[in-house]
Amino acid sequence: MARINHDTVELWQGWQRRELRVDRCKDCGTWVFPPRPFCPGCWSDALVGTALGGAGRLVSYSLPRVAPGSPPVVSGVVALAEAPGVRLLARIVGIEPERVALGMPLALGWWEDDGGVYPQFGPVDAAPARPDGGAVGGVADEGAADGGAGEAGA
Amino acid sequence: MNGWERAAIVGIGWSELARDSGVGPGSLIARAARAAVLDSGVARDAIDGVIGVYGTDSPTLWPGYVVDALGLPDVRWWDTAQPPSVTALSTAANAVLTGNCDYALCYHGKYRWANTSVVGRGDPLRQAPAHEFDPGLDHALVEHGGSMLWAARVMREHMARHGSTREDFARISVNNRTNAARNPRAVFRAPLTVEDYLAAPMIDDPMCLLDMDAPIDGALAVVVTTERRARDLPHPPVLVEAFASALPERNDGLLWPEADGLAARRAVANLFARSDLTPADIDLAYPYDGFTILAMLWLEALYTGPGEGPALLRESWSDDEQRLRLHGRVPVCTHGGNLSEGRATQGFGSVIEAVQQLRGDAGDRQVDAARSAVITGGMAGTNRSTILVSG
Ligand SMILES: [Zn+2]
Repeated sequence: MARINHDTVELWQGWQRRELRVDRCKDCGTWVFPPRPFCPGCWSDALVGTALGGAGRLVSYSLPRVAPGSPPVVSGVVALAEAPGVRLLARIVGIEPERVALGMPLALGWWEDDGGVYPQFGPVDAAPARPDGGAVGGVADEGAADGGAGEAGA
Repeated sequence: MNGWERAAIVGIGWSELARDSGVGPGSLIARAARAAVLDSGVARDAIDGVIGVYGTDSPTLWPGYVVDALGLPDVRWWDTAQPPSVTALSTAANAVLTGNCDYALCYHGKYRWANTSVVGRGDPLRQAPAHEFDPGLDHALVEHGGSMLWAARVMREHMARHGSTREDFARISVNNRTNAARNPRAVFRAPLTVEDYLAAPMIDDPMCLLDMDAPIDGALAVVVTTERRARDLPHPPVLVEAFASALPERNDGLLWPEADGLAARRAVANLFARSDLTPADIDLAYPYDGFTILAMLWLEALYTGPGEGPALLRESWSDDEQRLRLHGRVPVCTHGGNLSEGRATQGFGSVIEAVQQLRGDAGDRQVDAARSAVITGGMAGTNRSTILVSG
């Protein structure tokens, strides 16, 4: 069960509908995540929940040890292409751990257990926009990793 | 000399540091606190401030417990601080400089609670991810997340961006263990080689067992007063030349691994802005080493640009000594760091060690003519760093 509170329950409820909604400031365009009471850029209270498709790129990941015989787990940080400056912590699935590369493009999916529905990410089937050798550069260039983040997301 | 009055560390003490102390956390803290007061030469009844590390990450005991356990009759100031421990030291320094108290007892303790050492109970060097890896990853929603996964992602990114290798991180691990061989406080003192490191089991790939400190039981304490009062006490005072922090935007290292290097660089800049000393002047370096990647980032913040730590480590490595000498001179973590003293210390071991070195009282670990030390603590969101100098 997620540890939700008054400030995060709306996001959590969106997940239960398999919907990723991120607040965006109506006045200055800043994407706001995790949920905050008002825009940290301009202090406007006008935040608008915006549903995202969930395209992203992998910022970093680790492979935590799991119980013997259990499937491997890839625990990653994903930068969302549609919302510069927004990142999610999520499982990376559908790919062998040794093929995971920093900067790789990812697509949003969902998984669930008894406690609820959670986002996860998997590889994009189409040819990656960035060749394998460019993965490192993709991370070093934060703008690219974070969906072309401008001032608003930095 | 920084131009304003300084606080001084006048007493140090510690409990046994052990994988299984056989006593409760309160006993450890009380023993360390009593030892520090006795070492200081300050009369028990003159201790009028108590400051403890009392963070959510570090279940420990609040100052009232220490007042009762030590029978302190007239404490007029108390406070608590988040780990790691330099935060408590600086809070104590502020308290004596503002006059809220004259002699502050400052402590840190940590204990192998069941929830911080589940699998490790039978084999304390093992830190299986079970207790930190939350299969729901629900900390993406809220404020909590396992520090091990966070550090592993920072390390992964460092390797990918800057080309650091496991051999580079091994040098930090081996250096600290080499130094720990001469530190009777250290829990892990058996020598290590780079080959041992490379053969160690992966815990959270790319982090292996020897990249992380292990949970232990223990407590450490110091007595802090002003420089002026320190002159009347038995030990040569060790002065708190400066301390500083930084909270740059994007402190959430869980999502922003690169924030950690930025926080370290800003904290170091803020620290040296408060002193005439420069990093090159410092004789002893104590980068926080709860994870080797943190030590890497702190060394970069102190001595190089981002990503240049591996080159610094390669240049500074002595194969003969199996340890680091930065710029051919400066030893790193002369006591072996958290990696050797264990996770009960959370940086406070560096404070105790630096005081011993700067007093000239470090036994066969003594570094000749050591007059200054830099101690960095924590990382983004929890960093606090200090420069200590001989008085
Ligand atoms: Zn705004």
